[in-house]
Amino acid sequence: MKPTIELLRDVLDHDVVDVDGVRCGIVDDIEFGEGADGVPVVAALLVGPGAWQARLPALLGVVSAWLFGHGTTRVPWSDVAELTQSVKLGRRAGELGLGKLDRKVASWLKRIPGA
Amino acid sequence: MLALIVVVSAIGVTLFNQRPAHEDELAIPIGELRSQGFELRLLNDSAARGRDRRFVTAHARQLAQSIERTRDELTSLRPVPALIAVQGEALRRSVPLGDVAAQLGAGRAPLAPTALAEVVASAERLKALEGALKR
Amino acid sequence: MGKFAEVFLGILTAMGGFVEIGELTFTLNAGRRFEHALLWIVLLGTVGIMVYCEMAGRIAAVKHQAVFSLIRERDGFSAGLLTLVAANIVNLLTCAAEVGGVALLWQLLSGWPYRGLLLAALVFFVIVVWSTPFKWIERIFGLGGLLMIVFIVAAVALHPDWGSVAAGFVPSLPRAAGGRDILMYAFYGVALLSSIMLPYETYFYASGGIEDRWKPADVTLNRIVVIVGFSLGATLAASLVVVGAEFFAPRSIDPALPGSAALATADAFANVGLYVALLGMFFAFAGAAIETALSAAYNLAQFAGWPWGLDKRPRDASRFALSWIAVFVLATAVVVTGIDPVSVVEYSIVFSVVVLPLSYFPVLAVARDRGIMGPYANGALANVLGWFYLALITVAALAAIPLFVATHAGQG
Repeated sequence: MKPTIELLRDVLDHDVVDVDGVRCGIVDDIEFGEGADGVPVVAALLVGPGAWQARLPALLGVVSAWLFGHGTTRVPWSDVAELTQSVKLGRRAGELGLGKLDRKVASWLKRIPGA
Repeated sequence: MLALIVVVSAIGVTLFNQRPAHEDELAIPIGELRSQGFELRLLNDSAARGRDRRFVTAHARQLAQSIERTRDELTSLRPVPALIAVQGEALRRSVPLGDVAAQLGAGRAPLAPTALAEVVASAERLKALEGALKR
Repeated sequence: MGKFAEVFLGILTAMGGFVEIGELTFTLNAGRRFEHALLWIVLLGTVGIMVYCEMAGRIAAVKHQAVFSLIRERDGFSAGLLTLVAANIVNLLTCAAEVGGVALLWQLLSGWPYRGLLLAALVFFVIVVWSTPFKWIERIFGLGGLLMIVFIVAAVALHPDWGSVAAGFVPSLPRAAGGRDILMYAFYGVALLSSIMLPYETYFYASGGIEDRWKPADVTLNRIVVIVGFSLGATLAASLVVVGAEFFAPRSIDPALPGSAALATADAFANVGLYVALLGMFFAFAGAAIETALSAAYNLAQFAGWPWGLDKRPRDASRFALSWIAVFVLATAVVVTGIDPVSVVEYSIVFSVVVLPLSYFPVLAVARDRGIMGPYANGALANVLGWFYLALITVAALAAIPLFVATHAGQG
C-alpha cells in the first residue's frame, strides 16, 4: 500500500472486493480507534445500511431505516490486503459476514432453470 | 419543511388545472383530432392501394382508441364562455372520426370515397378552428 | 474474431441502437412542425453523446470501472443517491414506453389484444435477458435495428429540397416565428437534445465495455465505434426529421403511434416498406427496453456494491438479476394501466434533461484526471468538448421544466 492513504478519496465509497475477486459491498463508513499514543487510527471499515444511513438527511434516514433496517458489517482494517481502485480484502466475503443478502437471493433464484 | 412544499405544490397544481381553458388549452385536443382525421384518410388510402389488411385494421383500432381519449379530454375541458361554442362544434365534428375509425377497425377497409368525405371535411374544419385559436 | 469484424459489428450495433420510441416520436414531430429547422440539434446532440460515450468507454477500458461506481466515489453518497433515483426513474419510464411500444407493434402485426401482448412482451424480455449472453443481445437487437434504414431510403425517396436540409444544420429560428412558436421550438430543441443524449446509452455502453472485458488497447477501437456508429445513427435520426417534414407536414398529420410512422414507408415502398419498418421498430424498441432495464440494474448494483454482470450466472449476481427482472415487471405495470406509451416517454425525456448534468459530470471529472487515467486522460479536444457539453446540458436542464409548463407539455 502507498505510504500515505487519503481516506476520503481512496477508501470511502469505493468497492470492496474479497480475496476471490467477488464484489461484496462498498465502504459506507470508516471506524476510528485510538492508537498507541492517542493518535486516531483506522480500526475498521463499515458496510451496510446502518453505516450509510447516517449520511442521509434526517427524514430520509428514518425512511431508509424502516425500509432497509440497521444492519452493519464491520471489516477490521487488518483484513484489508490492498488498496487499488477498490478495497481488496485478504479473506472471503462469507468469512467476514459480507454478501449475505446476495447468497440469500441466490438461494431463491437457484430453483429457476438456467440460474 | 419538505412535506409543506409537497402539499403547497399539490394544491397549486390542482388549482392550476381547475382554471377555465383558454385558446391554448382548447387548441391542443382540437389539433389532435385534426391530425387523427387526416390520418384516417391516409390509412384508408393505404388500404385502397393494397396495404396489409391486418395492419390497417389493427392501426385503425389503435387510432380509434386515441380518438376516444382525445374526445374525452376535449369534453373534460371547461372553456371560458366565449369558447364554449368552439368546443361544442369540435366535438360534433369529431363524431364521424370515431365512426369511420370503428368501421376501418372492423375490417371494412377500404371505405368508399364518399364515406371518407365527411371525415376529410371535419378534419379541414377542425384545422380551421385550431388555426383560429392559435392566432 | 478479428478486430476488423468486431469494429464493424460494433459500428452497426451502435447505429441500430440509436433510435428508440421517444426519439422516433420527437424527430418525426420536430420535422412535422419545424421542417428542417431542428436538424442542427440532431448534429449537436450526436456529437455530445459521442464525446461522453467515448469518455465513459475509455474509463471502462482503462479502469474497468463503470459510471455509477464513479458517481458515488466522486459526488459522495447523498448526491450519488439522488442521481441514482433520478436516473432509474427515467430508465423505468423509458423502459415502460418501449415495452408499450413493442406491444403496440405486435398488435399491428397480429391483431391480438394490447394488454395480453404486454404480458407476452414481459415474458419475452425476461426470458431473452435471462438466457442470452450479453454479446448476442447486443448483436441481435443492434443489427435488427438496422432495418430502420428503410426510413433513410424513404427520406431520400421523398425528394426533399436538399438546400433546405443543409440549411437546417445551421442553428436558426423557424420562419414566421411568433412568441409561442419560439417557445415550442425551444422545447422541441431541448427535448430532442435530451432524447439523443439519454444517459442510459452512456451507462449501458460503459457497462457493456466491462462485460466485454475491454483493455487499454481497445481505446482506439472504442473511439472508432463511437464516432462512426453514432454518425450513422444520427443519419437515421436526421432522416426521420426529413420524413416528418416531407411526408407528414403536407398531410397535416402529427405522428403519434408506431403505425403512423410505418405509413410513411408503406407509402413509398408498399407492403415491403411497411413490414421492414415495423420489424425495424420492434428491434429498436425491444433493444432499448432491454438496455434501459439492464442500465437500471447496473446503476443500482454498482452504486450498492453488489456483484453484477450478465457474464455471471444469475445465482452469482443475484440481486442484480432480481433488479432487472423487477424493472421489467414495474415497467409493464406502468403501461398496463392504459397510459399511452408515447406520453410516458415524453414525460421521461423532459425529466431526464434535468438529471443530465448530474449524470455526466463524474464522467468528465474522471476522464480528465491524469492521476486516474494516466496517459489515457482527456486531451485538449476531449476537455473542451466535455466542458462545452456540460455547460450546454446544464442550460438545457434549467430551461426544461419552464418550457414544459409554458408549452403545455410540448403540445401547444
